[in-house]
Amino acid sequence: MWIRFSSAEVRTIAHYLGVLVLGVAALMLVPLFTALFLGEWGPALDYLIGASVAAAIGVALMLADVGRPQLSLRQSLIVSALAWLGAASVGAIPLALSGNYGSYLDALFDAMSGFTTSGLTVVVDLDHMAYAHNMWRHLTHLIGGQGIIVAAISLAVALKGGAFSLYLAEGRDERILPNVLHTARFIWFVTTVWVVSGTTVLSVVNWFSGMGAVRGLLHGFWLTIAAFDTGGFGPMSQNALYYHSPWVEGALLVLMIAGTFNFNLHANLWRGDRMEVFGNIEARTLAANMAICVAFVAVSFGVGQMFATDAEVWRKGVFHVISAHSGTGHQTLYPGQWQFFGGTGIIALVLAMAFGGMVSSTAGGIKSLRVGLILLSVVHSIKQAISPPSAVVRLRFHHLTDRFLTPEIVASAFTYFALYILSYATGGLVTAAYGYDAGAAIFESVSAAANVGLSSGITSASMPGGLKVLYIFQMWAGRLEYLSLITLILAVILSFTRRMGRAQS
Amino acid sequence: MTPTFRGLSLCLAALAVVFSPVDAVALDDRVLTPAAAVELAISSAADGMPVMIQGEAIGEALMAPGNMRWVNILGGGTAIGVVVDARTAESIPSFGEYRQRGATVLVSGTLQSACDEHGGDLDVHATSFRIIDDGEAREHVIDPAKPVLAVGAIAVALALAWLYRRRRRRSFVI
Repeated sequence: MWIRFSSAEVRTIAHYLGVLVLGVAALMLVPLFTALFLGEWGPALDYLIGASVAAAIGVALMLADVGRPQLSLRQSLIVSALAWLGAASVGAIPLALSGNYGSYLDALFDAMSGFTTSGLTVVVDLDHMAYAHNMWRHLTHLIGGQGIIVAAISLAVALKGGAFSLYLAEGRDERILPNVLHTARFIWFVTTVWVVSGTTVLSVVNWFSGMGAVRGLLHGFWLTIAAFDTGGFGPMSQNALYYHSPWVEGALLVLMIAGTFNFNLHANLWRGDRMEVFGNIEARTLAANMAICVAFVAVSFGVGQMFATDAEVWRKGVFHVISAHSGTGHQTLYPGQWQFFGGTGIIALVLAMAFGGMVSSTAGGIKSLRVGLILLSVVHSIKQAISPPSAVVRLRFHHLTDRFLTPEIVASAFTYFALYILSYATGGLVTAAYGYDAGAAIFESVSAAANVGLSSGITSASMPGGLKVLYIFQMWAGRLEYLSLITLILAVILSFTRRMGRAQS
Repeated sequence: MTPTFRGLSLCLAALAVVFSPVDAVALDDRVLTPAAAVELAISSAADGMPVMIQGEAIGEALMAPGNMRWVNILGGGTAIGVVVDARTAESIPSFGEYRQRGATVLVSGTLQSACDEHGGDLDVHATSFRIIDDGEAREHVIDPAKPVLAVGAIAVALALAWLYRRRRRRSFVI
């Protein structure tokens, strides 16, 4: 039986949503100070307006319930779902004022793409964009990558009444440390180590390449967070191609792989337990998938002869497979050049995007753990079929601990698998209905729903408004792994039917 | 198509070329925008085609192997990497960014759809390089409505914060 939300519960949800929106307002101070530091007065005003409007909306929502109530898991799912929409909606305000977006919808598209670490963009004239706006675009990756809720919990921003349930609702079903606050802080600790290391390396590369001190540092920081948070935005319209540098691409490869790792595996590595990485079903599935996709792309390159040298296989083949698999979307190709991958290469890329990275990471997609469990269930079915009828076949797998494969685990993996496939297919069908080529439509739909960001060229400022709305929805749903969103939709439908019922009686 | 329609379309096409500076797909019969050059490289899928492209130099000149530099040139909404020698790159007076429209340059060279020398990048190897104009500072006029909007938004946010504080205090008293 479905339980409907009471008005008190709705007020509680509004209160916590307001807290999170207020947090986004506070984060806008970073681009505001960037603008003031660099003398970009127009963008400084954009962030003053954006932060003030976001703060006003946040406090207005908090006024719904001033008593700081406790959150249930059900309420947390709704807060989590709405938090991403709320963050993107207010985060889009300064972008819409920047003059680099044709409309508020375009700005919302980029804000949602940023927070969900997708990386698809409809920005115009990016090469002349202010540093402050680029700072904000990339900061959305950083916040969204770790999780808006995780960010708030780690700062202990007035979420004491519902920290754990909110953490679970954000699609993170694994705690690294016993305390959820410590877990959130550990996630930020790992991120800080990688971001500082990546920024240092990439800044040095940029300075040696001929960039100025501040510009090289900023580009190093932005590239690092876009890669580690598996986002894929770039400060220039050519994305990673702008740098024409194997060093930059090499550093991005390492950061993308690190970003797609489960934070639990980061914790194991931190504790010195390297064997966990080799024994973990998720890590093994991801490595095998990546190797298979790279092999197919390499074979396709060999047949096509466009990218035939070893350097091309690495810089165009391996780079884009890792970019797709990790859900990053960094690109060193123009969209039209995908044809040089050949049919086999394109299919391998789409599969890499669809499967995605690891659970409890910044990556999107179905996730390697679920793919591994589904494959294991296939093995189980085959073993069961060839065993005597009286035999009981039980399979074990290792993911942080040794576990038996149970019907519940398999059912959960298949449920998420089905939801993602449904989203990929629906998005592809709708895109094709707008008149786009079927292959390109599927590529773009998978890229949006798996929060990847590689583009076949469909995503641009000139694409139909309906498609922009569709991709915004896909990015949002994909980041939430559907469960929170389905709860939200059911809650809205049920409250609507209740009102209809009251009106009729 | 009737002669009248054909004449009208030709006039409109001529006007479009005259009034669109670097964003036209082809600047004249031989000079391409970077966007048109990228399209040509993709459709031809061949290396070594001679081309002339014109566009705005953006960002900065970046190191390339063998005392060469990468200069990215923007036009028609797309940028393309051009390989030039270090001395030529140093002669570029300005590069495009937020505060600056970069120098407009005319490049002759060979178009590579997937350059073996540069890891498969789609690029142009320059054989000649001419600066058409030096670029200029970009003016950013602040919309007078923005400061008003900022003050209004701050005032509303502060008023709501005051109200929240007051209600919270009252709820604790009760």
